[in-house]
Amino acid sequence: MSLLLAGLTVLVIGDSHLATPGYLVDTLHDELRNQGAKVYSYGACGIPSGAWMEKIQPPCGSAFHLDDGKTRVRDGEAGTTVPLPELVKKHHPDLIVVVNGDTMSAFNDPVLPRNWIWQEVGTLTKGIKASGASCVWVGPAWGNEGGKFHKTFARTREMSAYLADIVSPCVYIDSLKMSKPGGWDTLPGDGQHYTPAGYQSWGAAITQVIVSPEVLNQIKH
Amino acid sequence: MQRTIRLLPIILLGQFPALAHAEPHLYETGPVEKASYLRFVNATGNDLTIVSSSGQVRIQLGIKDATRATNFFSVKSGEELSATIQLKAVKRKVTVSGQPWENITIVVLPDGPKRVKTSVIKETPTDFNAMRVSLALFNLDEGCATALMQGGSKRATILDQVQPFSVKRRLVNPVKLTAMVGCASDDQMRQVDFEQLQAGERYSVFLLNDDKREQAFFVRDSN
Repeated sequence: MSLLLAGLTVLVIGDSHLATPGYLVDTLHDELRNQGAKVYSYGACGIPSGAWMEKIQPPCGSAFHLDDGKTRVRDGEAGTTVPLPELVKKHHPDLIVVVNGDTMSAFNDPVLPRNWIWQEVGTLTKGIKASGASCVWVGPAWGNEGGKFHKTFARTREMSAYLADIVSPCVYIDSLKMSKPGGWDTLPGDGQHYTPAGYQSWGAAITQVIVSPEVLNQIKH
Repeated sequence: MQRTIRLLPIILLGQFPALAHAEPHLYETGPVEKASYLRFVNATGNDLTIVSSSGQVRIQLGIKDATRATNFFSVKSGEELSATIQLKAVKRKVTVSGQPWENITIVVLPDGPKRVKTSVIKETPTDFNAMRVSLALFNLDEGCATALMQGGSKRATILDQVQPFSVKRRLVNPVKLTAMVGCASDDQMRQVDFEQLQAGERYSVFLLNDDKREQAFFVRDSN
């Protein structure tokens, strides 16, 4: 076992991909811990990036996983998010990992709302910059076309390319390079959320990118 | 056997909470409401007041550089919005509506010595980039057929051919910049000193003539 993240405290925040047990809130969390990091993961289902700077009640629940503790799920008012500045004050992260893309991809809209996304992303990256922590931003993975979220490969590709342009000072991690389109199974009729095997693959692939020399050199103080 | 089959899902769900909670509910993957962004710029030689249609919001606009412009306000797209511009005792109503994600700049201009008129400049930017700088030139001088912006020691052209009441925009690197802004037909250029341009920031430069003199200033576009 390598311990390339030994001594680092990592705060992971994200959307629905971190808001259900068995998703990245567990798989990415455990992979990062296996690299020696202390890890604190928080997911809020269905929220855009900027919402992490305030207290909001996510439309479909939240979850958190504190280092070696158990994953806890919260619904309704109990699922209200903890704003990033408070999370930073509590955990003192060296590295913040953001997993967010699908909730801002506007799959039902013929035009990607770039101006809105710019503001949502900018609201969060300003907060991250103020925290002094390093940051990586994990973009959306391919998923499968169709399903109840109407995900498409074309929009996912467009969103990923756009996020790569606008998430600085975070280092962008392109999830589309981790599999071929449709390469990870999604839940029946969903298209956006993965089976346990899919989340296992995604969590492992994200961690491999984070511990690669190219990224590690940019995030280690 | 029958009993075992019926119990199996319950046992599984009890042992693996992940399976009991495995599918997120449907949620929006975009904004709940489409917005436009609206700001006012004072291109007159006098202080102005902008009053919202409800009368509850009053914004003062000055005549010194950045005090001439408001930030962008987020408004519901497609909805007709109105405000009243007050210059001393003179009032003028302005009405506008925007397309989704459109930036709207309402320019207040002199109309003779005591009256004002307005011009609306709309753009739907797509050049967002956190590693570079977006620089825009707004030509608010109706007497200037084409405005231009030059920069650097060699006075390289950054933006040109900007017609009255229109805007041109481009991405540049986050460098230290002093630009010269003016009318292509005029030898006299105005200096605009940005100092260090900040990566990810968006800047608007306004060239105007307030009936007293031509001048140029910049603001950072912010909501």
